Amino acid sequence: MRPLTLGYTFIVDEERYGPLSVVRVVKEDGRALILFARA
Amino acid sequence: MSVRRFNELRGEEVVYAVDRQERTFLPDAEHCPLCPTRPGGPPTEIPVESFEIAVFENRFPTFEAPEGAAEVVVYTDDHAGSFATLEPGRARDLMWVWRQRYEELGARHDVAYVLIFENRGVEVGTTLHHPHGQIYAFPFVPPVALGELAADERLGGCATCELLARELRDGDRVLRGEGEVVAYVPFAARWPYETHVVMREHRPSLLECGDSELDALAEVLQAVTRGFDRLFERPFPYVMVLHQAPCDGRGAGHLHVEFYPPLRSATKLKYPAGCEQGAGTFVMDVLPEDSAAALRSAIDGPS
Repeated sequence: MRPLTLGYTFIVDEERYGPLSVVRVVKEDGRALILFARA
Repeated sequence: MSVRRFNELRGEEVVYAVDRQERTFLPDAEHCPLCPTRPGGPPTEIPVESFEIAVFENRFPTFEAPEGAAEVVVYTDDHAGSFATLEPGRARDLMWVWRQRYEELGARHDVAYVLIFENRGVEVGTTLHHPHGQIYAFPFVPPVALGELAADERLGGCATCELLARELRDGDRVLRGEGEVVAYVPFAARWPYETHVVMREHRPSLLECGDSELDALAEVLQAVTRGFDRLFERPFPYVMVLHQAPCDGRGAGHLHVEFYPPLRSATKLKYPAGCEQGAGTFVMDVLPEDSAAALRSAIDGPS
């Protein structure tokens, strides 16, 4: 895991889905955040 | 944690998610929780300086594990605009995001149905203006989806295929009749400008769609929503809902998107009132053929 821009938010996984890159993040309060971007 | 109670007289579940009373309500742009977190600015739900599409677990969930899920889908880091004004490539990417969430959530043992939707405009209860939609992963199959399964049984096959064929044969209410995705105002619309966007081929869900079908779906959805905004030359409120196969193994369904816009004119709303709520019978002020003609002009007008 590596820290994102703020505090205790961590990237936990990176993968591909179709044309997109998918970055999974756990936020400080434990909720999931997924960032999708054109790969 | 929300609580479910079964309403015997209606034969349906009611969900009590009382924490949602505290959810953020129409903040100004400076305090939008769906904007990226910018240096020196207030923290938001998305702690990065820029992003393309973001999905996060709703802080005020209607459903949550181990009985479903509730997510927010943020279409862009730009606070202004709408689904209609997204750059077309972004709209195409959004179809893949919807597909990925349907696949992942639908595979969970506690999820029976994945509802992807957008409420646009304060007239339909939007509490945040930043372009976004939501996903509710239901632990049960909700009544509308069950009604569609019952329609399949009544019509002896896929009801959406049959209704699409009837609309194309008739033609009066068709807004977009060419290509892999068809749009029309349905024969028995329950809202003045109700619109259905339907996959031409039988596709139970986004998972069965090819790349070109997903592209076509994005294109037609944007054409329809741009047409909505042109119709009365104002931001056009709507509820947009993806209808797909349940995820509990029933397998039936035909991917289509239904829009329920509440406006009956530029300034007047259609309210589901006594007859609609008390009897379950919608009474309309406008014939679907007439609203289709107006919408067709708006969709085909200058962009």
